Amino acid sequence: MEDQQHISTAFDKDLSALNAMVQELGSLAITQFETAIDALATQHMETLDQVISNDAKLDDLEAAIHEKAVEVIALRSPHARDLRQVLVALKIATILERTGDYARNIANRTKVIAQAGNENIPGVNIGRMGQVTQEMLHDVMRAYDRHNAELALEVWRRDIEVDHMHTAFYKEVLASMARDPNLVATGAHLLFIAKNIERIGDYATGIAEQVHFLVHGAVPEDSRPKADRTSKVVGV
Amino acid sequence: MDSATDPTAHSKLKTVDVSVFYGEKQALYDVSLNIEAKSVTSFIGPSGCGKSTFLRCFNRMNDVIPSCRVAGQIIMDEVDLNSPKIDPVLLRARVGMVFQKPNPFPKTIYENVAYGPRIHGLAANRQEMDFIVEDSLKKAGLWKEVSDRLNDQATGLSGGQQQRLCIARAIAVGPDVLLMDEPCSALDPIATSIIEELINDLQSRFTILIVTHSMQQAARVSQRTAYFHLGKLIEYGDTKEIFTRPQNEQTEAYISGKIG
Amino acid sequence: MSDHSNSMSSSSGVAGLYNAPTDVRMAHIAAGLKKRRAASRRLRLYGIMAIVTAIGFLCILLTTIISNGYTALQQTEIAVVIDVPAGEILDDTGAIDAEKSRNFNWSGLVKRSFRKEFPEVTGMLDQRSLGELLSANAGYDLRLQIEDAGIIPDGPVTYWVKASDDVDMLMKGRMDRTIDEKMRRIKDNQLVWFDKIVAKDNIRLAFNSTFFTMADSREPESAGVLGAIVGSALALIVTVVLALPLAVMAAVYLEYFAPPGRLTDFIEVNVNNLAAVPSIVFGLLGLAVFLGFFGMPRSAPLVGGMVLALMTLPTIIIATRASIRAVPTSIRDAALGLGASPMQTALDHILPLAAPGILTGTIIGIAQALGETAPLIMIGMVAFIVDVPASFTDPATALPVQIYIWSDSAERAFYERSSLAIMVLLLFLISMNLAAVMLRRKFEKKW
Repeated sequence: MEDQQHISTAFDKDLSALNAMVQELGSLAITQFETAIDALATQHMETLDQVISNDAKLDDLEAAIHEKAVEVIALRSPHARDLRQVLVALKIATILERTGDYARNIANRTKVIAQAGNENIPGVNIGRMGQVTQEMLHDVMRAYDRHNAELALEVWRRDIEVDHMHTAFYKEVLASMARDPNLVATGAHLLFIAKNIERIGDYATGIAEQVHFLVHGAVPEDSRPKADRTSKVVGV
Repeated sequence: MDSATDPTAHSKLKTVDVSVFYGEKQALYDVSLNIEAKSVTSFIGPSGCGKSTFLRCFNRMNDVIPSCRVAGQIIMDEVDLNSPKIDPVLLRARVGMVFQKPNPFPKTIYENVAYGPRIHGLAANRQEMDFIVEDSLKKAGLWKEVSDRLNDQATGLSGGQQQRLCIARAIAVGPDVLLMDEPCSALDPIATSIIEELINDLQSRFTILIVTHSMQQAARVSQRTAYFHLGKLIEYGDTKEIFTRPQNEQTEAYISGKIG
Repeated sequence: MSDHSNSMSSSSGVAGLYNAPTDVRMAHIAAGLKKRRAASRRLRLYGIMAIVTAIGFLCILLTTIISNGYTALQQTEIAVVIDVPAGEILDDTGAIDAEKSRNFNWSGLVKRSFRKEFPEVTGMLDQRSLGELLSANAGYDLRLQIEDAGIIPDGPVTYWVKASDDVDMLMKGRMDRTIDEKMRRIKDNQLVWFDKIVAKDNIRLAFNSTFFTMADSREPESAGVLGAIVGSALALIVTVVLALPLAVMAAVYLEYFAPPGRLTDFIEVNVNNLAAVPSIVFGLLGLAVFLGFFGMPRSAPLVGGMVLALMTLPTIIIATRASIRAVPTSIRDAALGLGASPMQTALDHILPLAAPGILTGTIIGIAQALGETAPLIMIGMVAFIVDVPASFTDPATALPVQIYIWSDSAERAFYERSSLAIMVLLLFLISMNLAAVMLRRKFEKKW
């Protein structure tokens, strides 16, 4: 970032503080997600509980970012890029907080599955989906940090992969449930978990759109390629 | 009652029920507030609300206006400035002022800064005076631009530079308190930003009171803001609170641009 | 500029033309334009007429004065061959003996030498008539000339001697030769002798240096304005020294230190009114107080200066106050804000900036005082003074008073000289006013 400095050093300080807070929220959210995905496989109870309780931190940080953004707008009257920076920080903070919420949901449902004690879970595909989504989050937060719209767009396009994986997983779980009715409860949870991961993928693209807005002043023109066909699945 | 208006709190400047009359007409009604040391406090409000009149009470410049009468107490470091025993000339060596339109004397840059210390006898010889001039110009952020032309006429400087010269001139006397009466209203936005940044630097040494008709400026530079309307103090508090959640409806209306 | 509304319909109802379509309005305005232009042309014409009239009168004035006065720049002189008897003047060492010189009859010598040119003139009456062609002070002039030179030339030498004022007027063509002899100052026989001198080329018009180097005299040809100029100068010095500091201090007091109230208002009103008081009143004041009560010397430039100072005081006070007020209050606020006392503010900042205005006001006041006659007459500077005053208490006269005295006298030659003196006075006044204008321009600072 080779942005010029403002004549007012206090203004510069405020903006960097805001950025730092959003980055912190980003790494918290990503860590929550990673931990939740790992715990899907390991089903380690303590880890799952930690993810669930940690979510409060994300909520607090999001509130603080909100407060700081309001302060910057009220006291500094930002314009142009500065204004977009503040608005984008607000929006991304909200997205990250919801990402954290989904991570918590995943942990919650994993706990239930673990307590049910079922072995036959097609966890590999979900692991792969979780992996791709994780990388998307990493990359898009890096793009945000560097104000790099190209990198963000590239992440934006990757979401189609996640959609494909989700559709495939959906069909697989349906097939498993059809074969073995005992798996229905677990299967249902798995479907929700997969949906949550797919939503997190969508959130990553949302962040990418915000980065584009920050850099260019408008969201990307073409509509995002979507490939989620789960709503169309009728039978096995 | 927070420390802003609590009369028993200890602060650098404190006013108690200050009222100002021009002949029969009252311009300020019982203004009481506390100001902390080494902070920036701004007075905002529509034209004619009495903020400049209030500012001028702190260095007794209202004495110069024949029909003006100031009632109440203005206390600095436990001493009431409004008492007739206080000599305004001495007071003004402790409370400096910068005016709306830059008003350097039609003399050299050096002479402008040196005048205050000279009349108060603050420099024993030429070397000491040179030091005072250089230091004041540095503190005002003007030294780099004028160090090679101290003997040029001050009126040849640009508006922003002239105002910084006036600030250097005021601080050369070594006051505790700086009063600024709309210091940027005659300047362009860049010069204004430079002076606001300067105020940010000066704050660590001086207690600064600034009158401004620009709310954005008050939001940018001050820690505490006082809102005046028709001679009354309507609200006084932390700048952040005033500009995000003012408690008084009138304040809210003024800040959102709903009254003129 | 096309108006979409129907231009044929005129607007009816409220506000007549105000709501009419644009072209109707513009037509109306254009119609009225002719009258307005005519009116402003007429106004210009009146202005030009006024200026032409004023300049016309000024030209008439100047032409009259100049045409009357320029001839006074020259003085008629007659060549006379004189052999000064060294023996009767010099002492044993060969230097001029003052005592002997004083006792010597110079006048007789000059007249005798002159008569030699006219051997045909006999009889005491005629000879006296002849002698009257020369200046009555010719002998005195010769004596001064010899004494200044310090030596007496050997043998007869041609001296250019001043002619009498009547011959001077005749020479300059200001005397009518054709009128009846009884009405003339130059008699017929004198005319004959005059023509003879002219024919011999023994007469010339030389530069009238006497006018500029001598004081007043009974004889016009020996009279000059130096005494009056020095008297005026001395009086004006006293005026400036007294009036300027007093006026400036009074103005500073009134502007900054006087407490607002009835007394201050009273003083201000009186100062302004004093400027309009007729100057002769100041003369009466001087007569009663300075001469009568204090017993100061009459006709002295000191007293004249004091009276003029009183007269000029209000002018300078008013000019000073205006200059002080012209200094922007921001300068005063800046100085006071730094902790300068009101006195320091006035001395360090306000007065230096107001100085050009004060100076201009002073010069204008002095120029006015230079031309004042009435008050000086009242205190006696109207006497006949033949010596150039050497100090402030010597009796003196002033230039305008000198003009007044001369214009009163019978001799035509004095009339000519008073016109020249007026020209000198005008020159001084113009240059002082010019100096005021130039000073103002030069010192006008931008703040």
